[in-house]
Amino acid sequence: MIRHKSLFVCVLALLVFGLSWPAQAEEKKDEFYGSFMIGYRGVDVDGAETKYKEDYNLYDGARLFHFGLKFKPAADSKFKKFFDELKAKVYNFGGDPYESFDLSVAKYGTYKFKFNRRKTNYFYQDAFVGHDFHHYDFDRIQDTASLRIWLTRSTRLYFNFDRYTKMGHSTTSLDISRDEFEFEKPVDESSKEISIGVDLSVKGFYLMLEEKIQDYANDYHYFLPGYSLGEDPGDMTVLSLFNLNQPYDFRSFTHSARFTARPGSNFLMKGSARFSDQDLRLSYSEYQMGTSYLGTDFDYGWSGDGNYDRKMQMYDLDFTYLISNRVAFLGGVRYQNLDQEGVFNVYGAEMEHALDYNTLGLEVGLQYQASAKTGVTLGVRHDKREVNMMEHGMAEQTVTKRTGFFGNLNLKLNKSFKMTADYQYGSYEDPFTPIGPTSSHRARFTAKYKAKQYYMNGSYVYQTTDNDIGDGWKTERSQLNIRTGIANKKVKFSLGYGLIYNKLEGDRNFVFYGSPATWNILYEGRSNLVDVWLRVFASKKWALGGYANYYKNDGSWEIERLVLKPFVEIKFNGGFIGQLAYRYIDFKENLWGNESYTANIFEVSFGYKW
Amino acid sequence: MQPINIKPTKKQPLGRWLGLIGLAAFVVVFMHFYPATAAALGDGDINAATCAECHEDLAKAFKGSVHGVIDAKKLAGAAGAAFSCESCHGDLKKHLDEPDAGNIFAFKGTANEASKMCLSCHKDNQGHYFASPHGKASMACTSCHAVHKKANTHPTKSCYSCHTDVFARFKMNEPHKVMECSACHNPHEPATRTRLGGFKQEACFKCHTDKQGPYLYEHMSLTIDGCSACHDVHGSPNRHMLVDQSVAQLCYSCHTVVPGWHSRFTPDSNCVNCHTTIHGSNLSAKFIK
Repeated sequence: MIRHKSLFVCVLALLVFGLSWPAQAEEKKDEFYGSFMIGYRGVDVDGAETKYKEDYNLYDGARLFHFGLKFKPAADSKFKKFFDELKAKVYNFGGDPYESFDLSVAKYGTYKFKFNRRKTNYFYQDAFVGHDFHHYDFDRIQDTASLRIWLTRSTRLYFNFDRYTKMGHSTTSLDISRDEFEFEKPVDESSKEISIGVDLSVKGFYLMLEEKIQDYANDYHYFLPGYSLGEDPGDMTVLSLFNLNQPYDFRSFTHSARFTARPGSNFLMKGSARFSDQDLRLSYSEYQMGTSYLGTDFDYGWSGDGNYDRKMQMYDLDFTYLISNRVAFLGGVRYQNLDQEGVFNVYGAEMEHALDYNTLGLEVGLQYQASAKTGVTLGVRHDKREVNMMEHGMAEQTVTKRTGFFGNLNLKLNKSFKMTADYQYGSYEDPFTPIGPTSSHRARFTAKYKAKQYYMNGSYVYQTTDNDIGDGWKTERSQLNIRTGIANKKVKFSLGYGLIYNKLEGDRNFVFYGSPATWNILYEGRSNLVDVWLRVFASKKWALGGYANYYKNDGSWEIERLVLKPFVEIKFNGGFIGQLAYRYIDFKENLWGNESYTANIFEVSFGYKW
Repeated sequence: MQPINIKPTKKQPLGRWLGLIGLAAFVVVFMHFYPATAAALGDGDINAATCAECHEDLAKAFKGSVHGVIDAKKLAGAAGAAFSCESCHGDLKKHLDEPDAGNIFAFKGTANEASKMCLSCHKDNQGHYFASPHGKASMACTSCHAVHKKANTHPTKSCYSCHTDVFARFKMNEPHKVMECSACHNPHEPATRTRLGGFKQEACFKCHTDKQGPYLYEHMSLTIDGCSACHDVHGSPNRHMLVDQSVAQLCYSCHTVVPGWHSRFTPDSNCVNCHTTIHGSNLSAKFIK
């Protein structure tokens, strides 16, 4: 891994000097910009290091914090026949939780190529031992490449490639014979997706066709790392051996077509169709050996295999008719269908499953733009979803309907001040699952003010959902955010405040051993967020500033977090830059205190900008 | 009894490859029969240098923009007109005779007027714009896109100035560790959130492919109502971005019919310690394994 990274840095260096040499030889007509920052980070964590690792995961060591270059050859440059622009960027190279590399090369009107590689580490470990057995620590490496070629002025061909792998380890738990055991579950997944498409423009008409293939594989498997007495060592249950293998893979094909038609300048129609066909195969084997809670030995093994087929179809058609430049009539129709069936042979039986659901939605609205300063849109929606499911040999069918209303208001009082408001309402009949609402409301207001170097913006969101079937439940969410700031050549300042309130409540009536019981479900969260950001250009050479963020959540889950980050930046002669930064993090988990930590992070870096 | 481990083999359907070859053949035939489309709206006699005599700052900034660097020959219309200021601002002759803002299309009218002009060229993936929440909110293309300036702004910064509520959620303790808004959202497309169930979790399955199934036993709240039934997708104070830190409370919000011996569990209990395959299972209808 270190050899690969060293090789990568050498390639970047060659790129930089290789491009800059002819640029200098051609009297600097080429545009060649770039910068990099390398340095060292020192970290000291006190308290729940697992929680710090989950939240930040920044550790000691040398880093290439940033590298970027942009090269645009001059008209008479020998590179000009190959490309008009080349850009490369690297962030956090050297072991941080997020490393990324971007490359793009373009010859305007001929081709455009982009590549991105991103490596991210995900970590979770509950600090309250025994509370949550789950743990994971894996890396996801994602590669994305796209190539767009202009075959003619009106025809483009494009290729996309997406790939990711997840490798690492995790743990999971199982209840076996009334005791809980923890198992090792290696993470090993990979996905590859290739698409090829063409888009064609003819006067008033645009067509896009795309074919996509995805291959996915998951080596799903977990095992007992050794002889285990379980979570309760005092009981009779013991597990000597456990191994469960269920690797699976699927291949899916997606065929898409999209068109846009403008038969006249006032009528715009857009439609698309997508068909997807996914075939999944899996195999299964399990073996377990141990002693049950009654003291009897057990030794079981099973195997099986399964295959599933999932087909999806999506059609949509939207149109906009400008009755005039001020009045527009909007409408849309959508239809989606998912049809899946599967067979799994296990425990000596063939288990079948079938699910089919389709949704038909209609939307119509009217938009009135009185002037450049005012716009209003009002409309209605209606959706109908039919779900047909067959499981355990039993069939179930549910038809859910939703009728909704939406409205948007946009006001530009003057060049500096803008406001928007939008409201949505939905009423549902017969939701399929208990989590589905029977009504929902959402209102949102925003305001923005900008005058020269000063700005201020704010938003307020209020949302409720209800379910009035049986015991019912209700959620409520309100959120207020305000931000103000100044940006000029000397000072960049921003101050923000957010207040977020969440609530979920409902009474649940159960019957335990013949006796009724009620559980008053209530979740409340009141979050206060304050952040301030400041950068002062004290002189041509000196810049200093800092960032502070305070977050507190009260209610059902009380946590507090303070982050302070001051920094100093010095510009030396010749384009060299030095930076010194310190970050202090104080996280408190107030219920049990097991996840609290403080961290001190020092960063010293040095760079160059040309 | 020895465990049996069978690796599935992959199919290689010929029909799929024939489909791709057919698509390529269609492209070649289509190109042969259909000419290029005129993108320019003006006749190209007036070029940027003419406009720069009065609008020097704008012309200078325009040179560095995406529109400014496009090779005029590549995007010339069928009549041979070059890509220039007239391509977006329309016929400039009247404005040159009488330099007044009223004598030129200056994008100062309604949002639809302004967007129409952009969509005369950008009718590909952006052709759905009017049906999107941004289009319905009477926002012109210029609300987010700076046409004359160099495109320095990161796409996420464009979203930030209006969607401060969403960005505040990313500052919570358990944010969704994704770098850009465009990883999940397409601002030119209609929102999936307003649709009745189904398929809106497609954006989630792009990365969380292991959760999509299909399974013998589906967790129907995921399959029908989507991932947001249990997760706060932008950020949450709760672990795993759940809508409730108490997993037991979250599960009991729906599952009121449970075995009697579940009475020993409290809001602090973690249902997924036993019901581990909570996103779907092939082996257990109760998601035990």
